[in-house]
Amino acid sequence: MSAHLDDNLGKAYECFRQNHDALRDALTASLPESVTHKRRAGAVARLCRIAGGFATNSRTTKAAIAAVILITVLLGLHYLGGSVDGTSVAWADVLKNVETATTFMYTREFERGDIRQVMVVRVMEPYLCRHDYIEGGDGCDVGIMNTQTGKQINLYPRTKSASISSEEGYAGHQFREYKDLKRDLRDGTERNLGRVKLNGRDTICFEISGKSQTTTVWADPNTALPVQIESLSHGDSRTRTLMRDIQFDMELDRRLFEPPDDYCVLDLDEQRWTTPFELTEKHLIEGLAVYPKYLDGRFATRYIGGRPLTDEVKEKCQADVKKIEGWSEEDAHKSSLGCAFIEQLPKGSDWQYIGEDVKLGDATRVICWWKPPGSSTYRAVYGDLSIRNVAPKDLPPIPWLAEKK
Amino acid sequence: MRKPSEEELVRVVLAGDRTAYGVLYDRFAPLVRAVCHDYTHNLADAQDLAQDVFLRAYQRLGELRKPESFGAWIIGIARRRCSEWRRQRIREQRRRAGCRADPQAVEDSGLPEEDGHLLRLVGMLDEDERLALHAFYLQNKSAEEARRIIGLSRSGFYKLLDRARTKLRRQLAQNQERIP
Repeated sequence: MSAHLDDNLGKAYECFRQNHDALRDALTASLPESVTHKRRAGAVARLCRIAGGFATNSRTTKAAIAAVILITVLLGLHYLGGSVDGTSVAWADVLKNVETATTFMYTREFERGDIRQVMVVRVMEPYLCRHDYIEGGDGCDVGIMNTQTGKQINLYPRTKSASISSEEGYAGHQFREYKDLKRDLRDGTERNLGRVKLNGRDTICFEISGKSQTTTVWADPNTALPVQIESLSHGDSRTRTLMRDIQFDMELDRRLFEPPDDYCVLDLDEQRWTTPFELTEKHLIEGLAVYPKYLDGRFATRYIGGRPLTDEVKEKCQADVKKIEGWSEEDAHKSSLGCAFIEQLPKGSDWQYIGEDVKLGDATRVICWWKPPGSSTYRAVYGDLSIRNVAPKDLPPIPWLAEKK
Repeated sequence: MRKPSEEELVRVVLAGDRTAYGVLYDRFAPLVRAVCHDYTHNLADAQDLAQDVFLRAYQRLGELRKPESFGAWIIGIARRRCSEWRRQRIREQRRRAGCRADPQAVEDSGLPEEDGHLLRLVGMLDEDERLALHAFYLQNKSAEEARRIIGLSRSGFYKLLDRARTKLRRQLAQNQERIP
């Protein structure tokens, strides 16, 4: 490599040292007092400590000790751990039912300050979770998480559309919450509160105290299955999570965890649409038609291309974006399908958009064109949204190129 | 005086000394910014993301199994954070405009033109080639330091660096030809 290039690279990389001291000071000032030691002591180590903390470095010895303690604890729970008031259900039975369930369904109510959400959650062990919002969904109706593939799916039934991404969304959060709950039930200290009536139903109630929250579990006295679980957090952000109408080991159709066959699916990672129908000119026209509704009767400044991005064009695009920010889910979907039509045009289709400032209804102005495969003429869309075949020589000049000349 | 190793610094931070984290920051922040820049193509965003990466790393430092591999570990966090940033950005663009991020929408990189152009070309190399260049030029051209961070043998690192430079030189030559 020439010394010249080496020097240039050395110089270019200097930009990554810009403002370094100020950035370091800002970071260190924002650091919490100390690092959280998240790596928890292993179960074996904990059990060893309980057993009197005798020091041994042998893994085998540790494991053997742990096994003996575990068996003793389990036997103790089984034979001696019945409820204090003589009820038949012991906490160990309830816990075992929670641990061994392969499917799990409940209605979840969540409250924190002004936020309230209600959803139905379905879990299919070991890696699928789905939630259907009933209240407080913030635009998303259904979320699905598949922790095996790492994919999050959101369903939007109103437009029969779905998005898939690798980013964990709310369904992933639900799945973790469910796993955390199991851990909290396992790790917490339980107290049997005896028989309690819940909505007229006999239950055995347990209170499980953890580090940051208290969980109350109401279980059926005959089956030892939880029928309701309530968690209250102790921290600054007091939250209440109620799981009601709990069902275990019910039939769950695997198809509930995938987008329905008749949905348009957008892969957000690949930026690619899969549609259950062929995308046609009709979708493009519907997509283009959305913008005049929000932009005082004119078409968008850019639509998959258009005038090159100068500061002026960027500003205009941002103004467009502001105006369409509150558009309906249906209109956003139409616009997306119009874009998807353009994106799936074969190479060499010569897509061109020049609709900036054209008014809806102006049959004299072309807003865009493309060349269908094998055709000698272009399909041109006019301001009145009509489509005509136009010979290459009859296409209007591209305004910004004409200006240059 | 001998420089404290990453392993020693991590242990000191875990023992409650935040200033040691500043030393780790001095050592790795420029590299993390360069990795972030590969995704953002904008210096200001890369700086913001790098700050976030260091904050996250601090919060998770207790989970680091091999303190001597702090460099490779924080680069991994940076990549994941940047992927997350890119997805958020694409989704935001789609939410706003209902369509794909326009490939022509190249934003101002915040760098002098020549530097920005060169770094854009670096950004077009394969990930391991980019990292080799970043590490080499940000560790004061010390191949030994750079290869240690990346976790390669000396010969493996030189091979990678050579490949990256050759590709870069070729790209620069092609670009020169296109300029009339």
